[in-house]
Amino acid sequence: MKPVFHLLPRTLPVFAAMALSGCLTAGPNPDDPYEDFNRQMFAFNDGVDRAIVKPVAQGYRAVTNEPIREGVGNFSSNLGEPLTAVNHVLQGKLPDAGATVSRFLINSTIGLAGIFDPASSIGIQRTKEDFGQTLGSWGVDSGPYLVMPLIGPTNPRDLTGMGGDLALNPLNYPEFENDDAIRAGTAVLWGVDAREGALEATGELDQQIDPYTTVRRLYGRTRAADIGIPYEEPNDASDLTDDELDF
Amino acid sequence: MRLFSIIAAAVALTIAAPSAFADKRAEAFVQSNANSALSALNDRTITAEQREAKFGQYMNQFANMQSIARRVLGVKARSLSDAEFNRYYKIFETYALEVYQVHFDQFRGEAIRVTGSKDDGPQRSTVESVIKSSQTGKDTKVFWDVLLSNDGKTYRVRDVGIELGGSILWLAQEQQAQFVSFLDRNNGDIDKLIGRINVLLADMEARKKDGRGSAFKG
Repeated sequence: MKPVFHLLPRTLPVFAAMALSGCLTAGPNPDDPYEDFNRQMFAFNDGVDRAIVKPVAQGYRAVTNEPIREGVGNFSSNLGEPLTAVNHVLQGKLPDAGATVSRFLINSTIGLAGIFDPASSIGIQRTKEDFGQTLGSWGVDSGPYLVMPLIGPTNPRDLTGMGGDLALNPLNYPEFENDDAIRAGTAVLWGVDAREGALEATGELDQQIDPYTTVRRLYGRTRAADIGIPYEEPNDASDLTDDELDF
Repeated sequence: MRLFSIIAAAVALTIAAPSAFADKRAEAFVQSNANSALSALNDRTITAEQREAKFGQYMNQFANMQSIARRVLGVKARSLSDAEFNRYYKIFETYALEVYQVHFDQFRGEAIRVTGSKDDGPQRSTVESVIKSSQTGKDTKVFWDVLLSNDGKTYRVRDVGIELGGSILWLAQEQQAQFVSFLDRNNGDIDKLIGRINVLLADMEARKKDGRGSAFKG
């Protein structure tokens, strides 16, 4: 039985389409047409984070030391390598795909199931690609900015990419005893580890005038950099006015 | 004879156009003033309050803070009375300096090295520099949007951009996006913005006291 991992690739795009066509109403801001909905989801996610996710991440930090967390991070990242390799191939980056497969093989064996990262020590650095990036590299437009419950900042392209990643990840297909429970456990571990690593960054977020706008711009900028396309945010302060030169 | 006339005209044009010389002067301006501001953050011979005051003094010489304060308000700046602007500016300056301190804190103990510049117009250039992050140990590119005054005598920084994950984070542009968004959602009420800034300043102060803040603790 595959209750989660086999259903998600099909349900995520459907959920995205439903949300966009029926549940959401476009607002007046052309840069963020679903801003009202997004802000509600942002507040909801923030509440869940403060009540559950952040305390768990803080507890995880309290009961582990740096080497253990590094090992967990390496282990989680290693499980993402096959998916990165598939996306490298889809983007035509065959040398990168080869390097990523090498990393996976070296770290899964010599690195004890990925807990250690000997591949980096010999100069094969980690890269990360997902299907949202692949779609972006194919020229697919991101569509409007969205904040989805529990998922967080995204857009239709990246939301579709998440479904694609679940379908494309070779590690989601082997069947063995308790496979779904093990995959779910691994996903939770990855999430807790990632949240622990972002504790300081989200602390800085609390110091912003409008954290929602900060996250929206940060997400757009980071994804554009990941894909290798320019990030354009309208209404920025780059245009010079005459009175600025009068000093 | 005609050749000499052309050369003379070219030389005259070069001297007359400020942009031809603006880059090197702008580079020197950034090199000197950025390091002065950074060294103020590192001066352990004075108290935290004195460091903060010294840093603020350098930043006011280095950047046109009043102009930045107006710019980050977007179109709302035009409709403010002088009294409203002054009330807002008083708190904005404190907040902006705190934000700069937090960002510059990652370069504590390091010096800026200017690596080049490009003209963006007769009175505007972007100066590129490199500084080692004391947190990661890696070189980070820092960009300076520099303006030359109408009289051609004074330089001021308009914005600071820090390379972050393959793109540049321009601090004033980020502030503008947030300020404008906040005002849009609060009917343009400048007092609500002032209130929000005050809340953040109180939080920053608390962070400094319990050791989570910037270089100014202790």
